[in-house]
Parts: sequence; structure tokens; C-alpha cells
Amino acid sequence: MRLAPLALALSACGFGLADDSSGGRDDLPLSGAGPFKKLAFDGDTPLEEPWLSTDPVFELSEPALMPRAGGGLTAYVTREGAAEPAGDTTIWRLEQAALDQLPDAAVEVLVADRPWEEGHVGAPAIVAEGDTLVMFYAGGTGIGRADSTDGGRTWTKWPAPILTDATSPGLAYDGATWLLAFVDGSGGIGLARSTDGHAFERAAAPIVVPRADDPKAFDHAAVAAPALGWIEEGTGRGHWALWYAGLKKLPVGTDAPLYAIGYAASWDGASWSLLAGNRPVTAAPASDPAVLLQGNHGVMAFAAVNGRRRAIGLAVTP
Amino acid sequence: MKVRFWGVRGSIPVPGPSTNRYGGNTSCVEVRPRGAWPIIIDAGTGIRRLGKALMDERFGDGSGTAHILISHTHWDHIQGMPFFSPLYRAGNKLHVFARQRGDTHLQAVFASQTEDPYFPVPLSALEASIEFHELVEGNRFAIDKTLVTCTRLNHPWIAMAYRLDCDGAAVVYCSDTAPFSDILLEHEFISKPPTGEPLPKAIADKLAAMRASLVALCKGADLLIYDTQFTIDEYKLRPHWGHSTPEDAIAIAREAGVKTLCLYHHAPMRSDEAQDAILMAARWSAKSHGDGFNVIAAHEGLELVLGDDDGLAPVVAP
Repeated sequence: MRLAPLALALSACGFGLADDSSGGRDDLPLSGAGPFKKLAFDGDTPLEEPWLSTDPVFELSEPALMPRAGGGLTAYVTREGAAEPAGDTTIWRLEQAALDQLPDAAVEVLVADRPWEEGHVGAPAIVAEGDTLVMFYAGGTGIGRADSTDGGRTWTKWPAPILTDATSPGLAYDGATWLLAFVDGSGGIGLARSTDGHAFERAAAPIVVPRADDPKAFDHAAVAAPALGWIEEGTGRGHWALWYAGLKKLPVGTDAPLYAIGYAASWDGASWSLLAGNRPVTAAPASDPAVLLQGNHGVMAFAAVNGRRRAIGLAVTP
Repeated sequence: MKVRFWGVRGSIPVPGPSTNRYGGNTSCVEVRPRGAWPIIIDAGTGIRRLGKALMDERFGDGSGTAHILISHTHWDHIQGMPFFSPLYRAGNKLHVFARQRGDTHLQAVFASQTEDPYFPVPLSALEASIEFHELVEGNRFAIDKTLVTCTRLNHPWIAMAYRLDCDGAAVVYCSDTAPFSDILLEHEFISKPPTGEPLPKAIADKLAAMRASLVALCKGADLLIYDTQFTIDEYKLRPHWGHSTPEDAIAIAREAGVKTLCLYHHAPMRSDEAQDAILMAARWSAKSHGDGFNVIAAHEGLELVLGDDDGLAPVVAP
């Protein structure tokens, strides 16, 4: 994942549109469903919209978003190095005071230094547990945990992976239950549940899978990169939200895969409904969603290619 | 036994930022039976690094022995051979196996690779002793304690698939091959895809027999490494190039009852992100059909431990 903590009150709880033949439910809680529109370029701002962070050398992807003290947001991103050994990844942190401002210089906060990580740490997913920030991250073929008590500047890793044979974590916490979404060998998005944040029980079946029987579906060919959130509403109840990357068609030749961002929700964390209407909440090209909901507004960070390198972009709800 | 991937790419090496994670070197896989000398399958550019690693073992002092199984002598499967360091140390023994050609002896094929003006060091000047062993389909032979079996594939000028049984496990290497349905590829250059007319019965029967032999070769294998260079859309454009799709590999794996299917011989234009998508789609394709085997994608550095090897076996042969 990559979503944030969300004990943030939302005033509205909408319901989805009518069901259609391609799946999706009409009783879906829509808070968090956007749609998220990519920031339009504005030459009067320092930000090169929609890009929050872009680099001519390094691949940036898999963002996580957290609220920044004093306003704005803090982003954590996976950075893939260009040097030997090829493909190693690290996690970097950057702060943005306002949506139209350039972020501060990124700082490296997590590196691969455990054998099980196999040179890779990435795909951060962060929630707050009291004053502690809890990061789940992908490393090697498992998902690890690191904690921070200084607002995310330094992190202490747990010694062993939280979950094995899984990657690309999405994490949410409602104060009692932890949900962890991931991708694994099933080809779908799996889910595990915990009451303590370290002992997780995996659901028997994936919660989101490609809509292989509907060639028109935006997630017909593949699903990936889940982000989770707990959305507490003004009425006192809440629901779980899932954003994920969906791929309509496998790439041909040198084409890059054109992911779009989809949405699903659940009242109980066990039974999940896709957004009705077979529509993404963020248009392609966009992958690796991370969502920060503040009041009635939502900000989504995503990964997409800017020129020749993947970069982190921003999209917002109206 | 251990299986380690040193090169996973087809056609041509493609180093660069977009291929960092899966790797840009062409085909080379090391199979290391417990306590025995390495068996190397294919000598694409990945073999260069393998050679460097072997020089830290007994190959460095000229007392190593390696067996190299060549699927076929197309460039991407032999390009690294002249850069294989153990060849340049007296005392080392290399045994090279490949399919017998009708026109040229195997040794002459490799000798021509290093002739002037293509390379400065002729085969005859190499310090190590090299023996060439020609094979015909259906051969069964032993390399130390490993039983090797082979059958032919559907590729221009014919490639061989190998099965290695050792340490209570079996690995099958199947690269390069087209599926056995649309075209028979043998000893001629075919410049265009077939017209779509039904195949003559004799050719259809021959293809069916080749496929049956391959399924038999793969029967119950712990690991099936399979050429999946194309997506379905790409295959439709170039069935005469002699490569398969993940769907073809899944079908063979299903019929043969393998435990793990490894996507291999990735297309040179395929970015890491695109390969991720293809892997996810293949996993769901297998899962949604009720297949119980794992689907993974080969990347440089991937090491798998099979059978009764505990992963702690000495890598230096006695």
C-alpha cells in the first residue's frame, strides 16, 4: 500500500451506481472512490504537475502518503538505483508543504541490509499506531515491518518478515484490526488480518482478481499494487477501502503496461465489492496508488512514466 | 540440487534501467547437483558472470570440470562462450553437448564462432580441454549422478529441451520453442507467418508427437523453465519465430503435472514493469483454471533449491 492512517472524518458516505454485467456492487461505500483527477499543469507554480517527484536517473515508484505536520503531505517512495548491483531498491522520504509546491529534497530512510531482503526494500505502506508510525515494506519475497517514533525520519526494522511469499503490501488499521493486502502467486490481490500487527492470518482466496471474462474491463488482464485504507465516516461507522492497479491488456512489443487505478470497499474487511460500472477511479496511465484523505478531499499519488523514467504523480478529488 | 539463473533474456542482451530487475543477459542457467560439478544449460551472455564465479572455485586453479548443455546454437544461446573464464585456465575440463547437425560437426560450429575476424582467440588456442558431444533427440545419458534426457522442440533449425534428474528432483529446460499447433519449424528460413490454412495431417501429426514427447519429458518435474518470449498478441504476428506464450507454457505444465513453472527467455524489449504484468496475468490464468503449480518468472540471480538439497551443500565439487 501505501495509504495512510485514516482516522479522518469524512462527512459523506455515498453509494455506487447501478450494477452492471461486468461485476461491481451497487451498495458500495464510495468514500475514497474519487474519482481522482491528475493535477493539471500550471506554469505559475513551481511544481511540474502532475509530477510530485521525478528524476532523470532513478526510477521512482510505489509511493505511500502520510499527512505532514503543519499541512501538506509526506511521501515515501521506492527508488531503484541505476548502479550495480542492478535493480537494488531503497525507500526515500520527501515532504511537500502544499500541493502546488515542490517537495523538499528526498532523504533515504530505509535500505536493504537483511539477507531475506535480497537487496530490495520498497513498496512502503504506512499507518499510525498511537505515536508510532508502522511501515510494512516489500523485500525479497516477503513483507517486513519497521517502526518509527520520530515522525518517519528514522526506522527500526523487525528482525524477520511479517509475511512470506508475498509482496507489494497495502496496510490499514482501524485501531483494533490490521488488514494487509498483497500480491502473491495467485495472480490476485490477497488479504491477511491481524489484531496485533505482526501475526497475520491469510484469507483463503484473493479478494480482487482480474475480470478475465470481460475483455472491456480496465482490469481484464492483471491486477497489482494494492493500497488499503480505513475510512471513518461522520456517522461513526467506517469501511475499508482498497485501491489497486488494473491492466486491461498485456503490453505488446515495447509498449509500457497501461494500468489504471480501481477501487473496492468492504464493511467488514472480509467481503469486498468492486466499484460498479467497470470504471477506474484514476485513468491510465497510473499505477501504484497511495491515497491520503483529508476532510472531504482526497489526494492520490501514483506512478507513471515521465519521459523515460517512472515518476510519482498526484491526482485529487474535485 | 540448486538452480541458478545467470541470463534470462532472449535474442540479444539488453542491459539498462528498464531491465535492471529481471536482467539483460541472454540465456544461461546453472544446475548444481549436491556436491557435484556444475551443469550449465546454454552459454548466452549470462555465462560470463558464471565463469567469473567458478574461477573462485577449483576452476581458478585449473582443476574444475563443467558440462554445458546447449539448447541450440543460435546467437543468444552461445554468445557468452568466448568470455567463459574457465576456458582460459589449463587443466579445466569442459564438456559441451548439443544436437547433432546434418551438415556441420558441433566442434566446427563453436570453432567458427571465434574465427578471425569475429574474435581474436581461436578455439584451438584455449587452455582448457574441451570435448564436444553430439546428441540426437531421445538420448539419455549420465553426467556424474545426474540423468539427462532430451527431446526436440519446434524452433527454426531445431532446439533441444533437457530434463535433469538428480537429488530426488527434476528440472526441465525448454527454450526455444513455438507451440505445436500452427507451424512446423525445421531446417528452412520462414519469412512470413502461416496463412491460417489447416495443416496437412502429416505435419499436424508430427507436431502432436513432438508435443507429446515434450509433455512426457516434463512429467512430474519440480521445475519447468519455459520459453515465454511472446504475449498472445505478439505470437499472432510472429508464430514463425519459434517462441511461446505463458498460456502455452501453462498448458504444458498442466498436462505434465509440474510443481513450478518458470517463465523464461524474456523478450528483449520487455521492461521489468511489463514483465511483472505478464507474470501476474500468467499466475491468475493458472489459478483460475484450478492449476496447483506455482508460476514464477526467471530473473538474474534467482536461485532455487530442489529435492533433497538442504541448500547448504558445498558448492565445490570433490
